[in-house]
Amino acid sequence: MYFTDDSLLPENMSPLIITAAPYGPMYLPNEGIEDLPVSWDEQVQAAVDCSNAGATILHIHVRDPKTGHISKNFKEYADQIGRLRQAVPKMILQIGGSISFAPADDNSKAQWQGYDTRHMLAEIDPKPDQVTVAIGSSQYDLTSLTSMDDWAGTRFANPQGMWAMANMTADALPEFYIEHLKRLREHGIQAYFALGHVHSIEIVERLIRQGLYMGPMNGFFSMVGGGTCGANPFDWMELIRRTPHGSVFTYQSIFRLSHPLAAFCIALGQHTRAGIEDNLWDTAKGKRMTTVQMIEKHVRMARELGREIATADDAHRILKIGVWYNSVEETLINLGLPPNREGGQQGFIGYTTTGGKIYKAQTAGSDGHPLAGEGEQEIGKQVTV
Amino acid sequence: MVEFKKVAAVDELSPGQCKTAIVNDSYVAVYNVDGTFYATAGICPHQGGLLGNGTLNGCVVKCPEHGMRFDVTTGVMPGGGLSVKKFEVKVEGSDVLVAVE
Repeated sequence: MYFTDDSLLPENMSPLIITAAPYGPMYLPNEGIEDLPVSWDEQVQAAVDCSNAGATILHIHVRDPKTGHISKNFKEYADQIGRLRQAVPKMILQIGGSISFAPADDNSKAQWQGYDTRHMLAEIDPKPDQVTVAIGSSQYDLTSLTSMDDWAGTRFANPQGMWAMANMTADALPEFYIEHLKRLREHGIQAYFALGHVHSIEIVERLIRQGLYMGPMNGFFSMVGGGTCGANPFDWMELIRRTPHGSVFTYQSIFRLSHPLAAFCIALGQHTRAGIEDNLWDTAKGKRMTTVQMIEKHVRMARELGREIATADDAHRILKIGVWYNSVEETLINLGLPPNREGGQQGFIGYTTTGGKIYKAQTAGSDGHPLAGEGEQEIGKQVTV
Repeated sequence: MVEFKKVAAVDELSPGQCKTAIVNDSYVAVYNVDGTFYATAGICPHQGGLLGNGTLNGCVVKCPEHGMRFDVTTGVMPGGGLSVKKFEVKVEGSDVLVAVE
């Protein structure tokens, strides 16, 4: 993303999109988290409350009220998407994509191997607006940036639990994500890229340049330490610098680090995520906070800086829900990325206009900066600049 | 009361393969380690991932969601940490049976 002199003025920023993450999939009902939604009604009400507080994306994990665990039942997921669509019809419904589903019944043979159980997310009906897609396997040590105090009251607040979490990985190899992106597009569901560091966004750009993904580039950086980006704000800044001008990104950290990160994102025209999936605490050590309180805090911080909060319509427009591209070149130009190099071209290549026509500039990037190439969609010749 | 329930056919899982079975409305993970069958509770203690949908490397299964690993012969993570319940398994004819309550 490129910042011009006026990018940080609030009237030039795109409205803040707050993603609500209220379902706390790591936690169980007996762990004392007061706003952990368990019953179907509570899970729906959480969405309504988050929407009323100012969130426009709902990051969804479906909990089975009978067991208290996150559901692995395909039908339960579909049913819950239906309930949520009815309760918060304008919210962007985004399913957390790490899930793999169970067999339909106890007579099922062992065909549930490999990635098929993860690819099933593309077939949920009614469909969500987005599914998160992790790109690039990473170490996923949730203890690196946390202490046992942060996990107080949960079943992880002991040496065994911490050691278990220290040794986790997020599995996202090309064998998974290339096919998954293809299936999401076939079903009209937008991919929401779940990235851990700068190397993963490089992979996304390569997928685009190879024609393996043609659509808007939206997503979030999961910066939880231990294999992903950590808490160094210079690294956060570098991620913003490396995201394409026409992309839209949210940044997520863990526990109390979520608050300074949110302030950073709000000030720099980026977007935020709030909820007990990421954080259980207020800024003060040991003081609990609910998902709705976290969303309200983001709203207050944005208002203090004069930044607007996105309406649901704003969020659909900014994230280009339902928009797809049909060529590598169309995707690149909409993201503000330079074209692929043609044989024999030297130097740093860019676009030119054709027939003297100048591209109309439109607001596109997360920072609200005008992006050339969106309006007239006339794709120019490539030139060496 | 403990009873044995069928969770797979012997020829359903080759060595190195695993599956998720549903027994009495609960998930059970069934593994074939070099021709010997093992079974554990099917839910990963981290975030509820289905261990039977994971990948089996020797006697260690890796959860498909966030990679938590368990030795399926003991139910314990390599090097310690969390554990999952291990079930008794027997093979009768062409059926793999698991002892559940």
